[in-house]
Formats: sequence, C-alpha cells, structure tokens
Amino acid sequence: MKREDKYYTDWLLNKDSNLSKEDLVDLEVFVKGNPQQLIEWKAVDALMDSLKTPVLSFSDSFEQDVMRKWQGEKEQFYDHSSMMILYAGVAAAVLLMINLFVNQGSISLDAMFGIAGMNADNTSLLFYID
Amino acid sequence: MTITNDQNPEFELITLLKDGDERAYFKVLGLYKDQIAKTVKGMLGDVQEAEDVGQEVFIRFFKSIDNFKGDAKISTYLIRIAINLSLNELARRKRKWRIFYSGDTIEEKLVLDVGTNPMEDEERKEIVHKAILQLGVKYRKVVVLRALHGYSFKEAAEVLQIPIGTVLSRYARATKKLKEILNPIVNEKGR
Repeated sequence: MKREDKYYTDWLLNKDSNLSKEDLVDLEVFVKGNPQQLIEWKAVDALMDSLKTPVLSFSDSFEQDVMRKWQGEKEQFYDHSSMMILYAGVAAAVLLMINLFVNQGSISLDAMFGIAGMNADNTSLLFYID
Repeated sequence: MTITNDQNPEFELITLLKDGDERAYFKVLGLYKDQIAKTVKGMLGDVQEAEDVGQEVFIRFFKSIDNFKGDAKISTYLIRIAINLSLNELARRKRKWRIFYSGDTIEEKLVLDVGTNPMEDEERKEIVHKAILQLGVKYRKVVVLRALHGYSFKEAAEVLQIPIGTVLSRYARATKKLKEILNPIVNEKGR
C-alpha cells in the first residue's frame, strides 16, 4: 500500500509524462477515491506554476558590469606577469648588492653605493667590482 | 571528451568564446542572464548580493571556458556554478549573522501580510519568493529549478547531479512546507 506522499510524487512525475503505466493506473484509482487531495495538489501546483513567468531579473547594466569586471580580471592576469618580472628584477638587484658588499668587505651605506673605503688613491666607483 | 559541431549545437559559441570574441561574451550574457537571475535570486532573494553573485557566475564561466568540454549544456553548467556560488554566499551570510546572534534560527523570518483581499499577481509571487527563502537550501535548489526554471524533474536531477527520486521527494517536502507557510493564498487560489 502506497503512502499519500508517494502518490503525490507519482502525480508530479506524471506531469512530466515520466510515470510507468502500472503506477499511473494506481494513481488514477487513488485520485478517484480522494478527489479533495487532487484539488489540493492542483492548487499548490498552480501557485508554483505562476512563478515561471520571469519576475526576477538583474539590473539593466548587468551585462556591462560583468564585462567591465571581466576586463579587470584579464588585466589583473597580465599584471601578474609583470609583477613576476618585477620580482625577478628586485631579486637580481639584491644579489648584485650582496656581491657588492662582499667585494668591499663592508655592509654599510657607503658600500651600498660602492664607495666604501674610497680615498685619494681609489676614486673609481667600480674599483671593487671586477 | 572533445566536442564537435554535430554533437553540440553550442559548439560555435564555445569556439568563439575560447577565441576571446567579445561578441560571444555578450551573447552568452544575453542568452543566460535571466536564467541565472532566477537561480541566484531564487536562492538568495532579490538583494544586491544576488547581483554580485550573478556577475561572478559569468566571470567564473569565462575564466574556465578553456577547460569547458561541452559535455553539459552551457545553461546547465552556468546554473551549477550559480547554485554553488549561492550556497557559498548563504554560508558567508550565516557566518556573518553568527557574529551577532547566538540563536539557532538565522534565516530571515517571513511575515506574511495576507489579508482577505485578493492579491495582485506580482504581490503574490513576491510573497511566494519570500516563502521559498525560508526553505532549507537543499529544498530551495529543487524548487528554484522546477518552479522558477520550469525544468522537468529529470533535468533538475541532471543539473544537481542527484537521483530523480531524491529530487521528487525534496520537491514534495518543499511544497508541503510552502503550503503551510502560504496556506491563505493556496486556499484562495483553490476556490
């Protein structure tokens, strides 16, 4: 014996013409014996059906907004590539600076500019860098 | 699986999208924005966040277009993204509300102002939409697909990737719950 809930899902499935012949016969018998139930199902269904007409929509500028955002995302992707190049450049500069400190044997502001120990005998900025 | 022209009527559009043709992007937006509005606003309500989530749905789709194999229709794919992003938004909303409330009930409660006067159609729909927002998310998903999109139960099962029996039982439970909420309207309609 099927429960009422099962008849309801069968009735719903039948609306999609997706119910087996056996179940359809069974459903018809149930509906004949319970006409009030069918009225209730139909009432709820009519209410749900009324929702199909479009009342939910996005703003008029929706398409433009999406495209603007999408362009922004694409630019960000390219920015990412340029940031990689920038990071590589910074890393190379730091390595060169370390090399400069090592060659001058000093970690000071003067060494950063390549002028640590600069005197009258040694005036070349590149003296320490072979 | 790769798509061919014979297998998929959307092949040309997908190819244009993959080529970065701007007109194709606009075409997709024009074709599917109403469906996505129904999904997202059906899940979240008619709020500003729904508009943002809707935009994000298309951005995600455009970003992943190179990986799109065409084994599902564009609409199915977009609706899946829309449902997932809506669920994320609901989770975010829940977290946000938890900061302010320690109670169990976080969902906005609907105050139905249904008098004895016959309501206008639009007003009625708005009330039903608000009632849908009171359903649990798993029920809301099937109601959105069936009632708002007009999908068959089989199609809804495909979109949600769950068995048709589960879709049916969730829909039946959802309508039962909606009936309880909307009893005055249902009675009026049944007369």
